[in-house]
Amino acid sequence: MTGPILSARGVCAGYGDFQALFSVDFNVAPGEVVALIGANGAGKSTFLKTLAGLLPLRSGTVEFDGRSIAGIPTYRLVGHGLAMVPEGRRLFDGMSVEDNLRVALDRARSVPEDTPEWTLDRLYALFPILKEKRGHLVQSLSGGQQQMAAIGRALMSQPRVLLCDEISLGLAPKVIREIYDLLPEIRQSGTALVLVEQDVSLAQKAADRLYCMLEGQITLTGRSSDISREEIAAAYFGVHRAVG
Amino acid sequence: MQWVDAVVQGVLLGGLYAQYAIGMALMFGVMRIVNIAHGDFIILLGLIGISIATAWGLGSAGLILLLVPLGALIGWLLQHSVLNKVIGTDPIPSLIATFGLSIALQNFMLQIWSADTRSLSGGTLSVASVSLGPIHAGVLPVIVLACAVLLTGGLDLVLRYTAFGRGLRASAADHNAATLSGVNTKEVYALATAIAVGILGMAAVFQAMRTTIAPPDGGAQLIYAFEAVIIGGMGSIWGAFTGSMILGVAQVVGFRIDPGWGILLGHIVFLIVLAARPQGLMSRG
Amino acid sequence: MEAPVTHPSVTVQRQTTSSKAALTLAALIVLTIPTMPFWASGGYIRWAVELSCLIAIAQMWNLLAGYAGLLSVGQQAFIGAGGYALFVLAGKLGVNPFAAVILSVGLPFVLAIPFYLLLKRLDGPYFAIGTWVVAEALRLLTSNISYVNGGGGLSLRVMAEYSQHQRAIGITILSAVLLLLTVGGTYWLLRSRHGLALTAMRDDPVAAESQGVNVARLRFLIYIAAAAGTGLAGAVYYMAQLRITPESGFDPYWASICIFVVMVGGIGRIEGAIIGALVYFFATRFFGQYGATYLIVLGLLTMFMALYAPGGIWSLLTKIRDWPWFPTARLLVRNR
Repeated sequence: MTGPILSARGVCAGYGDFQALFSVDFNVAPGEVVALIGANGAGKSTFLKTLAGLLPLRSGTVEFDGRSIAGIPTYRLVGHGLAMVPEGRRLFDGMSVEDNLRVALDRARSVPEDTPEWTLDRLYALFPILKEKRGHLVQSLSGGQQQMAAIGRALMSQPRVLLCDEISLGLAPKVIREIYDLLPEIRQSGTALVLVEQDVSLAQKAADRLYCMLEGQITLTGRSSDISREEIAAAYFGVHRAVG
Repeated sequence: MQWVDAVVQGVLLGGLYAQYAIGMALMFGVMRIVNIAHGDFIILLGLIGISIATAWGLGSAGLILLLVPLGALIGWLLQHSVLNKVIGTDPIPSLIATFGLSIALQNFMLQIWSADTRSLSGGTLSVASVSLGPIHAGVLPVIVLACAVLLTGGLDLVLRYTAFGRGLRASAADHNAATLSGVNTKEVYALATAIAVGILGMAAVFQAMRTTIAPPDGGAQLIYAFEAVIIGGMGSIWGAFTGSMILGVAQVVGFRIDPGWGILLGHIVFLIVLAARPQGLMSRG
Repeated sequence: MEAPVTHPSVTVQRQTTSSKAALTLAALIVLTIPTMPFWASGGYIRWAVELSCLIAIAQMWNLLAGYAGLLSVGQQAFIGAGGYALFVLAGKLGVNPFAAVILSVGLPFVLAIPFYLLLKRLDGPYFAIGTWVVAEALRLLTSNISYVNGGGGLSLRVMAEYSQHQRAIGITILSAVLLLLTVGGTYWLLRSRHGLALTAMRDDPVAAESQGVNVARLRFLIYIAAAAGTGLAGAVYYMAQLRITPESGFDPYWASICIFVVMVGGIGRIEGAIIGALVYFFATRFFGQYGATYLIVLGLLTMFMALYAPGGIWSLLTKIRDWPWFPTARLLVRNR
């Protein structure tokens, strides 16, 4: 049993006077896929931003690879292998697809011998459309292609943990399936995936474990296969019930 | 023939302006940061250069080797201590802050160097000239233009094809997303400003050799650089270069018409471009 | 049956104790200035005129930058234009000089229209440097017009027809009118139906636009109004100076004064521009003798204000106590 690659203990965070997270506990092991589900405003994205170091911790600890992330700037965490696909893709407009990917590749950590490296070629094999469009400006891509480029850019950082914020948002079902079908390939090299997802059944299918959030707290956690739809519904909408 | 000559001289003058303008294109067009003290740095570096040349008898090449790193250091410090505090929000605070810095710098220079105009002696370089048929060109202005071409081409390549260039463009496009791709945006910006002000180290030496400099001149240099950037089209390094050529030609042609009209014709060309093609001549938009 | 809804009885309150005191004081000052020739020395009259011009120019810049979001470093274009219009009307065309001051507003007003139509294509900082270019072009153009004696400038010899006392009466009345139009006008504008739109625009132009504020049109109007007010101040100022040159009238230092005064006093507040003008005026009287050193301090102070106290002195003062002089907000007060 390996220890978690990323863990949070009693995390509180927020914006200004508004506290969005209340003592959140969370962990993910190398190669594991966990999903964070919950209604709009439950605090999922805030929690992801806190994990990435974009929001400061009010209290509690976040440890990445056994070291506290407190006070470490985000770009440095990325350099250690904690990457994120931000909500809304946030590609670099005015730059080509390949330049977008290279920005992250330029600054990627060097990976150990035994793990396969993410190269442009390997990424292009995974997303052939990106190879075809590599010289195009990113703003000329379709939504699905942009999402692939955003995931690809994050992969170029050679992540050990990849945080994905709503990667299915605004995409056609067919495209969502295409993207989710590629997740096993990503985790195969030991990368842990943390998915923030609105679509519960999609999350349940893709993830090993689920965390359900409500009003800034974790209301349910367990193996995806062990949790029933009723339990999820209860945790999702805050109908309190004894579980187990 | 005298108009052909005016155009040639204008292009050569444009070589000097390009050295002010490409640094501004980098900060203004790419990073969207305004540095009102841009022109004052040219004057400051020029005056430091003249003092060093007088004290140590250093030649122009040696001065450039000294002033470029000094300019880079000033730019790096400026970005870290002032401009990085105000990026990301609206551009007004950076404008006001550097405006204050500009007033302080000008008066600091007045205090140290007085209001006298000074220049650097270029020795034989200042008087040497080459002729192509009826057209005569000074060797020094030709060197200045050649340096401007090299700087422009070099900076354009750096922006396009290096990790630093991609990081800078990414930071300018989306600050947070760049951070999430591992870019240390503050350091990248500091390096860019170091380049922009570092180039002024070379421009300062050439300016002091070609003409004269005095503490209050910075405002004029800022305006020329700005006009060149807007004429050429924002965000394009070669655009700023082209804009500099056009501005130089306009000023020299204006000067030949009537000495009082030289600078004014430059302003008028700028206003015409603004009216007819506000996105700049080199911009695709 | 539903119970009738009872609305609490409220009144809209637009004045506070501090503002009533401030408005009374302001009215007294405006009324007192024209009486100065009868009791004050020439030195104090000069002070009053200069300070009035300073407050007017700063208030106009504040209206532009603080409310309309139009940062200008070229207001000297209108100071010079107002000044030159006076010298041409009174000195060359024989118009009564005191009437000419008022008529001089026409030139900056007319110039502002094409300037704005050109410059609006540049946003934010680019607009700022664009205004500077326009002012420089105007300065060079004036230097080349032999009708106004080119770079040599003009003197207002026609003023010799009036006695010292008559001149003092005329110029103090004009200064009072200037204050009334610029400060009073700004206050009136901010309390009019445009006021809410302007305040909304100051706080968030994009949101204001989506709420139906015609930001583009309002900016245009503000730019022209500020040009006219600044031009009037220029005419009054150069009437007192009796001499104008392109170098002085179109001096970029005017822009430095605007920025310093408003940034130190407090941008986006009427009170800010007044406090800043007072600080600048008296600081210059006391420390101006230190020349360049004084200006270094002024420049560094502007920089530090922009970085660490963007609200200026006024916002620091309101942290201690909320005592508006010229309140533009509407307060709902429950009636007893």
